[in-house]
Amino acid sequence: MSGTTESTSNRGLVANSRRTRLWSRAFRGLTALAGLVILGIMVVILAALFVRAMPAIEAFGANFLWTTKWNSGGQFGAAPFIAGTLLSSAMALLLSVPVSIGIAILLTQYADGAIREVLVFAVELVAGIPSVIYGLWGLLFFSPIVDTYVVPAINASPLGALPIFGEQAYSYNILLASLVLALMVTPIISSFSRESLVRVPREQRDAGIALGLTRWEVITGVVIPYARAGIISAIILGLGRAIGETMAVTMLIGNKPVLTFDFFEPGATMSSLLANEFNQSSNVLHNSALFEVGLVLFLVAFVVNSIARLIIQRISHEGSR
Amino acid sequence: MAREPERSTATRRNFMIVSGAAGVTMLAGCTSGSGNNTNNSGDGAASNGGSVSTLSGAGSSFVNPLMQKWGTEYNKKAGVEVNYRSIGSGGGVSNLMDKTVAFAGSDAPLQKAQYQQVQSDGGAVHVPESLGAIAPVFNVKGVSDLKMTGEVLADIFLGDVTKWNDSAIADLNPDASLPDAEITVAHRADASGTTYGFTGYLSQVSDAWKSQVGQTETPDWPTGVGGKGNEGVSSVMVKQENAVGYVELTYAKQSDLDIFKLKNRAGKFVEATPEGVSAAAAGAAKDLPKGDADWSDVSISNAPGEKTWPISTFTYVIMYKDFGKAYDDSSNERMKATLDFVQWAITDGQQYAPPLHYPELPDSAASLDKQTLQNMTFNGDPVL
Amino acid sequence: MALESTGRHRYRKVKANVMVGLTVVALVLALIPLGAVLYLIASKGLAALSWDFLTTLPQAPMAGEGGGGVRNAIVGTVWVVVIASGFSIPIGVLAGIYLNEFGDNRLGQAVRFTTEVLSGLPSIIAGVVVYSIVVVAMGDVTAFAGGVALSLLAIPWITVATQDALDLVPQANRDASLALGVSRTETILFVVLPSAFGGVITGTMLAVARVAGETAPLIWTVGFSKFAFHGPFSQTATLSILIYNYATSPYEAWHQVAWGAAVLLVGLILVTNVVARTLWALRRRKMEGRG
Repeated sequence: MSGTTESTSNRGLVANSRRTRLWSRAFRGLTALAGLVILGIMVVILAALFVRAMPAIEAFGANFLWTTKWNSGGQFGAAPFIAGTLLSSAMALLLSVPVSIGIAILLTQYADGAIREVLVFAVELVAGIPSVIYGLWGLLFFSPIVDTYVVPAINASPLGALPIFGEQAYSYNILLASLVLALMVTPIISSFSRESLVRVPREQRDAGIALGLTRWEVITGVVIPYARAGIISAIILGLGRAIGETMAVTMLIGNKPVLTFDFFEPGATMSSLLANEFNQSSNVLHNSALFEVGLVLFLVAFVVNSIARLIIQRISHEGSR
Repeated sequence: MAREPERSTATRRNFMIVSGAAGVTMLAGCTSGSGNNTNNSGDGAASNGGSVSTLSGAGSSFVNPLMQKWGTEYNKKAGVEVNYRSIGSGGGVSNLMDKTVAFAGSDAPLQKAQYQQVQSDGGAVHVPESLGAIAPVFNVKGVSDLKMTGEVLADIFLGDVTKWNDSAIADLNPDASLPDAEITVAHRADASGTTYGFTGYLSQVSDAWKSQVGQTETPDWPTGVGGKGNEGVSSVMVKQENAVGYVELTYAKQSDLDIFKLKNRAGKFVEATPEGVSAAAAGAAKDLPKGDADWSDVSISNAPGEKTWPISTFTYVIMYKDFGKAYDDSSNERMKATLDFVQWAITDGQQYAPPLHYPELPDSAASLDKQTLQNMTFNGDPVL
Repeated sequence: MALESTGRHRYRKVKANVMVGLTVVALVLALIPLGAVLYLIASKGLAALSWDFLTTLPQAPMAGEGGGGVRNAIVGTVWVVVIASGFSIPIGVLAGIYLNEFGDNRLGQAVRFTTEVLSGLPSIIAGVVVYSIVVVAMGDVTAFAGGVALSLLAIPWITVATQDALDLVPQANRDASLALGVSRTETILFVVLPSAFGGVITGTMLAVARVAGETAPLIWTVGFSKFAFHGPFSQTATLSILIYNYATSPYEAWHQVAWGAAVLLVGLILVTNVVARTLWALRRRKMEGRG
């Protein structure tokens, strides 16, 4: 013990000098400043979007959100892009959630040891591949596969009768974008679900087994309900990611700024619109409308992510009780 | 507190390796620069009197193949890097208005409102540096030779003719085996001078088109899917069966697309060729306005003549007439460099046009351009 | 007990097994595309790699030239990432320290919430906002503006990673140091941070790797260039924008180059991920060994 005290006093770490206290305060202030910078970033983003969107907001008002004409006779409306974002995200979640939760279950309840590590790494790797590379892959490889196998399969099945699957199939369409999007959000939903499933106390599972339930029934009847909130927040986080996803969607969705509910049609999302059209026009109102779409996108992503995080916060508070 | 130094040293070592590698790469990148004295403050604006080595231009994808060639050759000759971004004529003009480029490439002249707007910055000049054919293209399996008229083309783009075996098309091509398939229309998604030229032609030959859509860089397309730039439409055309679209001739050739034989004003079905464009320009070239005037009425579309290609257009370099009045440039270095490049493009640069399927500039246009460049000033003083 | 022989029990057992099988199918469904992507990148990309590819500048196939190389794109990506790191690492680490060590108050709550929400910022918005401020002010697209846009994405990631790493350091360490009379700041700098250093490095490396692959923030802030790199205040090529431009072009020569660039980018990210995670695993094992 005394040796330690000597070494600390030799290094002058004892905080009984004013200078040390001053440095302490300065350091604390510095870190707080960094925190303020983050708050500042949020404010700047909102302000920049809002200010630039002002002309369009004044010109169109709330109608902007459901006007379906974009760049037509001076009118600009965000409806085609909001719809595109919602449709592609919804389809992506529909496909991804069962797969992601299935993977989460497999990796937390069944797999173990080195195999689990490898598989976890593999799934994380899916998230590590940049979006533009998924776009590249989708353009040059996956799109013909979808055209040759998936589209005819859907058309041949009872699904083909649904109004969301129309007649004319254009190679770059909402379906293609949704499929790749589903792949991209799977790691997020899976990893957050995994975290929630892992948190389920052993006693709960053991109780289920003691009652004679099969392992699967333990999972569906005990573990998942217990982890329900975490899984829901994982899904919402996945939704948030899907909403904000830009590159792969831009490269695959066909970029048609017209409202449609047909997955075989090309469409556009809020982010793909910005990736495509931003700052190409000398029309001030056009550019302002683009900023307004950006504002809507930011707010939607903000709300979705906030909901997810609030749920997570609530769980962790309950957990620590 | 006792700590094991090895682990953190290991991570620190890895960090050093990574940052060292990054540092070396950065140094390599720096020193492998063009070797000229480079000015890094923005768009080569010579605020410290150094010579300009980079020029920024943006706009028309129509002329992009030629612009890229010019960039490579001019760099070899003069050491100056011309960085031209193919973002569409509308984007080019927008950048010019934002003063983020030295010159804009545009197949559409400034509209009257835009022309008025630039007068407050000392005005702008149009310098036609090239011209070309807009080629209506199609992708139909088993068919590579089809005749077409302007009216039927307009009907297709209006969505009134929706199938390949429609009588309108079949009557023109009795020997072709046209499929019973939906036509997918491919058009531009961005503000496009090529579209301006194409819709201008359609407005001339089809009253229906003129009243429903008209001539514009950004039409309210009644039907079809959009591609970005001539490049985007080419990609769509290559991939999508039973599609119809319009691209500049070079793109059609480079992507091996089938081009309609179009009926011109003289009633002949002609192929899209540089000669056809030259024939179209022959008449109009004598009547071009002065460089700093309003060019919004200039058109070589649907021109008379047996051999003319009906959808022809000039493509322009649009610049501010006086860089001193328009930009924050403190010296005329950038303006001189820009004008030197444009001057080279309309003279020596023309030799690179024919291999890329652009005709050479007619002599009358070239001499008009030289005059325009001579008349450009920097804060009132001549530059060239 | 005769439970096992009842039909219902057998049904439940079969169902359980089938369900496990389905989860395996789910895993395979996710991993097959990954495999396809990696395979394509490897086969087409590696075929495109060559010394020339890495050391020559881009060319213009539409002008009759070949596909070209990616030298300036590599340099550009490094620069943009370095600029982004220069902004995001100091701010992110300091903010992470604040949140974990000093953040038990209203400001800390606000910062924490904002950080988490910002980590879901749509990447295109970062580019749009930075364009409207930095690019317009500087008069041109620049590598610098791209770095700033990327840092908007990286700051929340690094903050969260730092916070998590610091959180793992046992409170006992802090308490012991403070009990010895060491000031709070010095405790953080000389006791907590060194222990958390591995985690911070890991998180930072992962964030930087992620940022290197981002494209959307760069589209309107960095532009593209086919010429050699000129310094951080000019347009530059980057690997991600190159892939975007080339993949969406109709030129086969450029498609090949895009695959090559993809191999470089994915290779870089893969290596960084493996290194970071191995360090993390080693560190965890060391910590568990000690405890």
